[in-house]
Amino acid sequence: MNKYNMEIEIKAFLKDVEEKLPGWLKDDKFEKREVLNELEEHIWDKAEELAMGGEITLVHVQKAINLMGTPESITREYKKRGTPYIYITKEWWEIYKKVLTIAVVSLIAINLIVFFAQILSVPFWDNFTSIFSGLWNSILPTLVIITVIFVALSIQGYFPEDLSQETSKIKQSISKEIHIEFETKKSLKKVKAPINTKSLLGEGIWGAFWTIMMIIQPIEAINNQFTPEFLEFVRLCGMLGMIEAIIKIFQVFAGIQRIRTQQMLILGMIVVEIFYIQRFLCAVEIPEVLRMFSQWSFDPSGIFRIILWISIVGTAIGCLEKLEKITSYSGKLHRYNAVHERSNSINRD
Amino acid sequence: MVNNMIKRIKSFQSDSLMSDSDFRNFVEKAESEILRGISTISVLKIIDNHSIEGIYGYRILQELEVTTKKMLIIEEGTLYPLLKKLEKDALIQAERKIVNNRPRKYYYITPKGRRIQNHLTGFFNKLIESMSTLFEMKVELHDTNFFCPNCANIIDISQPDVRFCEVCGLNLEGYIANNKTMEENQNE
Repeated sequence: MNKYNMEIEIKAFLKDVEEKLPGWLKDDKFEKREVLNELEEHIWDKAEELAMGGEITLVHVQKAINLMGTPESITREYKKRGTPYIYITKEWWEIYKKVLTIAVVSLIAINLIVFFAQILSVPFWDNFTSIFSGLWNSILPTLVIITVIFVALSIQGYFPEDLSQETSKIKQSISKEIHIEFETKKSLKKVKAPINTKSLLGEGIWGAFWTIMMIIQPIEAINNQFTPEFLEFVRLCGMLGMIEAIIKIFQVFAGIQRIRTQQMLILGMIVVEIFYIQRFLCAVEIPEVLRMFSQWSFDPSGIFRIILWISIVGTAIGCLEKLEKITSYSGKLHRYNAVHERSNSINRD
Repeated sequence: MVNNMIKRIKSFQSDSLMSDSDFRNFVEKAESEILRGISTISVLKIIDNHSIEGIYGYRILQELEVTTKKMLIIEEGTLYPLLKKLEKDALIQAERKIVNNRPRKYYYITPKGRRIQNHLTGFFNKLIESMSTLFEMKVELHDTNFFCPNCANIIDISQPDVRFCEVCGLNLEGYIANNKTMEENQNE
């Protein structure tokens, strides 16, 4: 009974520690278990020392736990992973620069294309100044959002490889399993994590970048080409897209092991997609939205209506897929963890 | 966090410098900075001292407390992340063993870890020695150790084929010969 109580006490403490661990460690089930096992061994050692050769009691265990410090103090150092470098760790710095470069180059290219496209139709000075206002309005929010994401990843102690570890570990296990029977290999290959955090992060950053453009519509020269109703439609879609991008980034930070949180976030995505469908259905009924262009004689209403209907069907199918994802998340995660465990034991051998 | 000196002082006079939060915070931070690097070298050194049988986390802390007379105390929240980092950097490797019916994770130093430990220890020794005048203390390094004049790496000159420092590549033949002559003169 005493031993049982002691174990309960230790498990409760380790549960607190587990909750405070950073996302990258929570996602790596093997590493997490290693860390918690080592802490448990430490508590028993300390309790043994406190018992001074006698029988370990609950009091010794409680004292040993108190001496360990708070779960926050124990887990703090794990969050300090990475080499500090201007708020973003060195491990992320190169990727951060690459993402920023791609975003800035894309924005400059868009502005230049618009500039040359209008060189004959718009007065030169107006056209020239619109490049700078366009660049300023688009680059600044993009820079802020991308930077915030990378700072958050650095603060949480993520490394780039953490976000791709599920695929690399499966690959590792498969390469080590080369001598093991074919069927086992096939089953290992089949099992994927319920969500791919790396692709979600990419989609989140990229989505945030484009939806900002859709919301702020920074290039006046482009805006002039479209009807106000169409621009409003684009802005609303941008807002929904922004929510979707934020949910994806939340999914990355929540980590794959948090079943309930992930299910809630996927549910949030379904709600957003329902709003998309509602927006598309409204747009189909508004001729000014369907006409799109304000100054052109070409009327794309027919084509745009078809595109909208395809989008409605596609989004509805997407909703059903996500519903399926919610219901199967737990099972997929358990299968993935089992394979992960197996791959780690193979790696250890 | 490394448990620094000032943090361990629980009672002090209300009119002492310790009660001044600015003073206390500055000293606390400075002590932590000094101890942070030292704790890495110390942990590596202790693991190296147990290179054959290995050593587990709790024993590392105990040994550190005893050998440094409780001057260098590393908290659990610092030790295990540090060990994980050293393991990830392949300076140490871990093995799970059951000893006395208790499962434990034993750490062993790797050849790479030993080379790094050797160099850091050499650097640390020479640093303390060179600072002795500044801080008015007497530091005497063991004669058995030969330090690379270029990078302070500790070199085992008892080995007959040692010609270059493995860290910086300096040709040591002249230095070793000088060192031997000096030793002989001292013996005479």
